[in-house]
Amino acid sequence: MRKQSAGRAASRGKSDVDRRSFLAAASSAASCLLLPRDVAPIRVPPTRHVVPSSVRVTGRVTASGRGLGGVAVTDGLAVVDTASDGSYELISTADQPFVYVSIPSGYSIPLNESGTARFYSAIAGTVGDEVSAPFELAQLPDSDERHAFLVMADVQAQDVEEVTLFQQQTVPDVRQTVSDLDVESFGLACGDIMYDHLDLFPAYEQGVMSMGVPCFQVVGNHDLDHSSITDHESTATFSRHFGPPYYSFNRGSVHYVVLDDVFWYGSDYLGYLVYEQLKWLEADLLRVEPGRPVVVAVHIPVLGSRHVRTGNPDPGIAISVTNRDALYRLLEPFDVHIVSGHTHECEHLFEHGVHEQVNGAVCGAWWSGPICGDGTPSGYSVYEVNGQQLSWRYKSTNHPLDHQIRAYPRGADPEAPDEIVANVWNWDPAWTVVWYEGGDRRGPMSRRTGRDPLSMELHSGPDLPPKRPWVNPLPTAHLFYAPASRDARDLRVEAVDRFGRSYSVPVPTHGPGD
Amino acid sequence: MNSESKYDLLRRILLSPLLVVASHQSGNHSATIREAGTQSIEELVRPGHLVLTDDGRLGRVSRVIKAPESSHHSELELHGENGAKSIHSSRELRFIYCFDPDGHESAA
Repeated sequence: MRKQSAGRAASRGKSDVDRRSFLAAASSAASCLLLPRDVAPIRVPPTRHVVPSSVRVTGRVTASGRGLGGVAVTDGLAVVDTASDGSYELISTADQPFVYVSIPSGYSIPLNESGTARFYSAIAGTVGDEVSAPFELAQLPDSDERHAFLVMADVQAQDVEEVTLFQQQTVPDVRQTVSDLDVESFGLACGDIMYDHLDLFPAYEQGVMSMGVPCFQVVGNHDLDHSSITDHESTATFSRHFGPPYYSFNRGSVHYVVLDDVFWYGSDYLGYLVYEQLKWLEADLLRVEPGRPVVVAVHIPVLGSRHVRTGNPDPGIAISVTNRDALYRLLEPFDVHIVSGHTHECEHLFEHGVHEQVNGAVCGAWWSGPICGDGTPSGYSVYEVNGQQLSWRYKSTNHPLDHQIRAYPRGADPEAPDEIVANVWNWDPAWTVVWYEGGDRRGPMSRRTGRDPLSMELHSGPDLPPKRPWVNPLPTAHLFYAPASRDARDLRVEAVDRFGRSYSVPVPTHGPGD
Repeated sequence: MNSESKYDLLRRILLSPLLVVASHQSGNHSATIREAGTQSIEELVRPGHLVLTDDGRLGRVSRVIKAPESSHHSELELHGENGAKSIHSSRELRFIYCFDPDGHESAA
């Protein structure tokens, strides 16, 4: 969070409600709720309205010394376009920490020394009412209509041991994947990069440096300064490393938007989008042609289905965006693909005309083993873009790209003792999953909600992961069942994804624990 | 995402009598208050309460305009964090932090 100069602070005055005192009051309320009822009532701090002074930000967006017109520049509130000579003027306020550009298609992603994207200029702490913020971009040698990106959700390293696992397992895997893609690529760390220990951000940055692709970052609930009493202040450390928590950029025909949907109220968080971010998004999307693909990256799923799978009537307020209708309204004109993380599981949802992909975790079940609670392997998603067409696959760390199914023998799920089971973690309704016996196609498998047998073995019973004994096998809707006789031989499961790619695995004769 | 224990903590906070969640999702426009039963939002919200609205605003309720006979929903005048006043239907409230107008915690 930016510091105010004495002059600007002195210009503040009139009484009313400001964000800081508002949320201080709210968080004080939340904290006091944990106290016994006979504790003396707290005082709500007196509220006052603070009007931050105006700051005139000017600059040029250039490439090889030539001005670039039509580039969106923002302070997170207002959005302006550069003139044909690349110049812009933005009237900001003294409490906005950054001015930043929406990187246009066809230009490389500017980098920090660590390899993370640097599309922003810090204006915090500048003295006076005039700030200059120029941006120099470089034109790509080739078109970026074909490009790729990797969604890495929940690296969630808590200590040196875990961030070392990220560096030694995930980073080389990503590097190889990018090399195999052989196309302009970037990474999206989809929140919970850390597990509250923000002093490990530099170790993550070292990993990015080794990956060899520019990385954008999404803020997660474990990337916040938990000592902050307001949402606004909670991203201060994140922003020192990675810039603003919400922004946009363009690659080829796709407009990318990164949002901060974690609302910190002083003692915990909600999935919630604040007004100024929604207004910024509205202004940002005004510059995008209707019908164009828009990829939205958030940490907390806009709408997961965990509540359905666990029998609850409503989505949990910390695992969904509670005011998501406001977001859906803004996204209506576009071909939208939301990518999220947070719940350490894979699923695809199609709601309000939007396809949301909840991504499995880089750390799996918090670095306690090879899979997430729903049986999805530790890993990340690989998206390939060709013009306006997106395709995607889940990449399991330390496995080839065609590792998309885990099959279990008859009886592996005690609730289905006569059936074989297959976990197809990246399944969506456009997939087909069938089974074979002795080379004969027996038909489609039946999809039911259940618990992955390997996850049951790892995450329940007496031998729990010592460091994470609280990990649970999650009920998941991407399990497939088929009846198989006791003496059935040569069983196989075949899945075909929505892009026509076929995957096939033999059903083992022994399951986990055998 | 966090461990179950932290969810439990969050749940405890949100189910406390002093911090109420409007349960719009199931179409049930009411709030369940532990130890106080279920109340309509109109019965619950009072001037001085802090709220988060569906359009992302943070504000303090400055006035409750009772619902006309033609509508089931009252309107609320909010004093926003930027000093702006706005009018919202009570059904647009997402989270309500209860304080009484003179700054003490509410006995809701």
